[in-house]
Amino acid sequence: MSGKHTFVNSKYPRFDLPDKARGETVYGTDLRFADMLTAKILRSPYAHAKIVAIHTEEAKKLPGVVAVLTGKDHPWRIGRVIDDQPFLAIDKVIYAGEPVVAVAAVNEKTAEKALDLIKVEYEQLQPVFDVEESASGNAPVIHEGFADYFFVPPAEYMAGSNICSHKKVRKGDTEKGFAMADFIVENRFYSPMGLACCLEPQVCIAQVASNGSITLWDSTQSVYRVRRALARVLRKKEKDIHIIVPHLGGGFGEKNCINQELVAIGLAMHSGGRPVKVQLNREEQIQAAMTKHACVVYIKSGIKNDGEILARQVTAYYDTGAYAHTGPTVSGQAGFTAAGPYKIENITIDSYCVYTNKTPAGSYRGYGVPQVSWAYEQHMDIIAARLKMDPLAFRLKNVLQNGDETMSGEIVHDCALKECIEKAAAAIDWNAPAPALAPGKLRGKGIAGAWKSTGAPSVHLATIRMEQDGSVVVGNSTTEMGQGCLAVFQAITCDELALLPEDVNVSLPDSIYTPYTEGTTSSRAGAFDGRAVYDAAQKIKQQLFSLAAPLLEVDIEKLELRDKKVMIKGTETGIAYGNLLSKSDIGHAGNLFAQGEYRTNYVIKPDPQTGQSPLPTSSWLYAAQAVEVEIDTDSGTVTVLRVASAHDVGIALNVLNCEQQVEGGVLMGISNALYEDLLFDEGGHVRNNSFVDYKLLTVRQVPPIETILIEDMPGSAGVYGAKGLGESSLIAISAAIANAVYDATGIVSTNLPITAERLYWAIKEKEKRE
Amino acid sequence: MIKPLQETVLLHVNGKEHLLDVEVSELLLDVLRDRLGLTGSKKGCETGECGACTVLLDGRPVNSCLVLALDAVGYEITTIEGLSPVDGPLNPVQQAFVDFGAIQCGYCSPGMIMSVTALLAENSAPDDEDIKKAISGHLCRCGSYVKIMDAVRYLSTVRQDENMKMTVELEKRER
Repeated sequence: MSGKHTFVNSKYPRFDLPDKARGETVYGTDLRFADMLTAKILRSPYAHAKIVAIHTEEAKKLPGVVAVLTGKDHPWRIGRVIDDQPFLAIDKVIYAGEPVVAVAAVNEKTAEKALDLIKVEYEQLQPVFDVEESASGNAPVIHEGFADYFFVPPAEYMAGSNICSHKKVRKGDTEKGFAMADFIVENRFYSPMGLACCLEPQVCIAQVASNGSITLWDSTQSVYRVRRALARVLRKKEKDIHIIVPHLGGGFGEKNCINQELVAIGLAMHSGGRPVKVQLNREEQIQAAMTKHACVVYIKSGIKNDGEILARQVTAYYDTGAYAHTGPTVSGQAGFTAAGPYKIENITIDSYCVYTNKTPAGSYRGYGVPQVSWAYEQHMDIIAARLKMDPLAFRLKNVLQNGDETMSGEIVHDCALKECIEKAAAAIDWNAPAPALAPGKLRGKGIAGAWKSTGAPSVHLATIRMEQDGSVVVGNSTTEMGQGCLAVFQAITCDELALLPEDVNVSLPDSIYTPYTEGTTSSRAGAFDGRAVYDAAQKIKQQLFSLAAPLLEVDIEKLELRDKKVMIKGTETGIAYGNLLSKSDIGHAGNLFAQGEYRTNYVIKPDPQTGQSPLPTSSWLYAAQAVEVEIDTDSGTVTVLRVASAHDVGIALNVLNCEQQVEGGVLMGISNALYEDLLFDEGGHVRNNSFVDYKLLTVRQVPPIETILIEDMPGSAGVYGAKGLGESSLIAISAAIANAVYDATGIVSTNLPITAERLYWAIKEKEKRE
Repeated sequence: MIKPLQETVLLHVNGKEHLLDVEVSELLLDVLRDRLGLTGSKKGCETGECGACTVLLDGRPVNSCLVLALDAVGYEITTIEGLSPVDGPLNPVQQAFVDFGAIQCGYCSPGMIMSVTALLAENSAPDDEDIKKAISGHLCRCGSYVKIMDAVRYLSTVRQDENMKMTVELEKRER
């Protein structure tokens, strides 16, 4: 699957950008229809409380109100792994901000007024917010009805517990490894909840026809997963749920889960065929939409004095908040990798997904891996310091390379991680001494490696339809949320069918027209859906050859595609696609259609007791990120001076896209590392529910970023050998910054984020000790 | 149905006049989006913190989610739709954002482009500090800041030599 590329592997401009620059691109928030109703949601003020009574009579009487619903109206429960989330709270609320009553009205003001007229009586229950306390077995049980929920592995029911999944890895004999070690290093690290902060909030418009069929305009990353879950819960046929996905103003995983669909559908069912729009405001988006899992990680290693890592034990507690969403797969997939990409004979990992009475957590760029990377990559530097070894040398000694065995028994293949580490370090002049600095300033360098497995198995289908004039429409259900996959699919199609970008349109997801794909997640759309596009193009090519061969009076083997024509190889004789498809003397061909596919059903599911599998995933992401920081000791402020981010991409499908993904991931990572922290008060309410209080990086904190794309190790799964990088650009950056801070100050940042205040006090404490 | 107080106003938007009945509490952003169908200005936070709704009032950038429609009377209001003709080429700022890949999801882009347009109208040779100041009120979660800075530096006449290099780089991209 290689060949000469014209558009692929270049920096050619994304075709979606001019419309975006004009403000013409249509997002879910821009959609409106005649007679459309506006929905508003009354939310719980308590983190854990019994619902005693709900009084909606006054609200229902308000002119302009069309529907008022509570959980009792439709006792639906839905989820991605566990159907644990009611569309509106039933009997009790389990986080502050949980939807309790939904209203559809002719306009926003009327809907808001209706909310004011609703009275809910609660009886407060004891909440639990701390993830370890919740996992201890001594906390109030949050989901008493779990045994009756529909759920799929890796979720599991543990009676009397708030733990909803437990991922295990058992390799070798960890205790023996500890016993044989020269020394042991043990640490605990914590990452807080955080937010994707898509600038476009979640939005869903639902319309229900009198025959019961449903149309949704939905800002989702996973049209088919959402449809399957909705069909299951609503007891409908999948064909009767039509989901149309417009452009998304950011996704980052947040829109991978079940979002506002059931609220919109529920209201629409009671609105006489009128469409109902649910659109969250920023406060709702922050307090109740979807967070990144908070995570506590215990990590312990047994080390030989020569720097060999004999054994490692990791225990991770992922805080999934009130509802699981993707929590069990996040904690499972990330927990699987929690010992890090290093050669270790003896490994024990336990990764738990735990309910608490907080905002639900779900997918977030990196899928739980940044949280464990935060732990194992800092742990590596702490060990290196104990060994009096350069952290870079310690990594290079232990990093997994082709032929090594991973924690699951897989033999490492197609892996350029070592090269990533070397190149990232070189790019920030790792060995150059720090310049002379003003008093009160310190400088440090840090590096961290990243690996992440791609979710598998997965199915990716794409269609190509060649119209009678030879132009082409590519159909695929990848959501365009900024990552530029549409342009990648366009480039692949152009290269394979000898077309120009102006000849190729790429559709957005529409469940009636575009075929199944697993969801725009796990950094795989470009590589895997791209492979399905490639496959469809090969089939179209064969159809073109079959049509042209008799006309050109040669065998198919003598034909090739060139400049929108089927040509006889080595000659200037041929026929243009448009002529071929519309030729009337042979009866025109209509249009050509082909479906391409890529399936990763060859992966071998890890054993649930040991996590062992020789082929647990279709593709690994590998990257390394190196940073230099300057610290102002008088304020504790960390300034990132420069970043080098090296990625094992196989091939850069679009060099511009790759740079965008890397720069974007790095900046999100710096923001995570230094600023972002979702804060809760003692009642479980989000304290910083605006962009003023929930700090994000701005243009002022942007350092120079060097993107290094390593293209000499093609992968076996993605199109042309491509591997993903959407998530690996974020994974290691927080730990790399922490390691740079450690290099400069000797202070370990156990808790994210590394705020100026935290570092200031840590510096003061250290000064006092010395 | 709640029927708030209304007033009839004349708004000048993108060179056209619109006579509208607006609610006294109605935001300029809502009027632009919901009444005039100018959905290029985006709603990201509704509290003036993200900059996605930025429009120009007599050439000066404002968060249209913080301005009452009533208070926009008498100003020439320019939205992203007013920067370039529908059938015509992009304006230079829009074109530079496209060429440099300074756009990813595109939700922040109209606001960014409005602020940069205002900056360049006032100062054709902004330096990095000027550029950062102009867009520091805008959030871009895709993290396009590096490429946005590149795009605006290219437009700035302060760095002619560097712009020559960038032009060569851009031409290399063309195929």
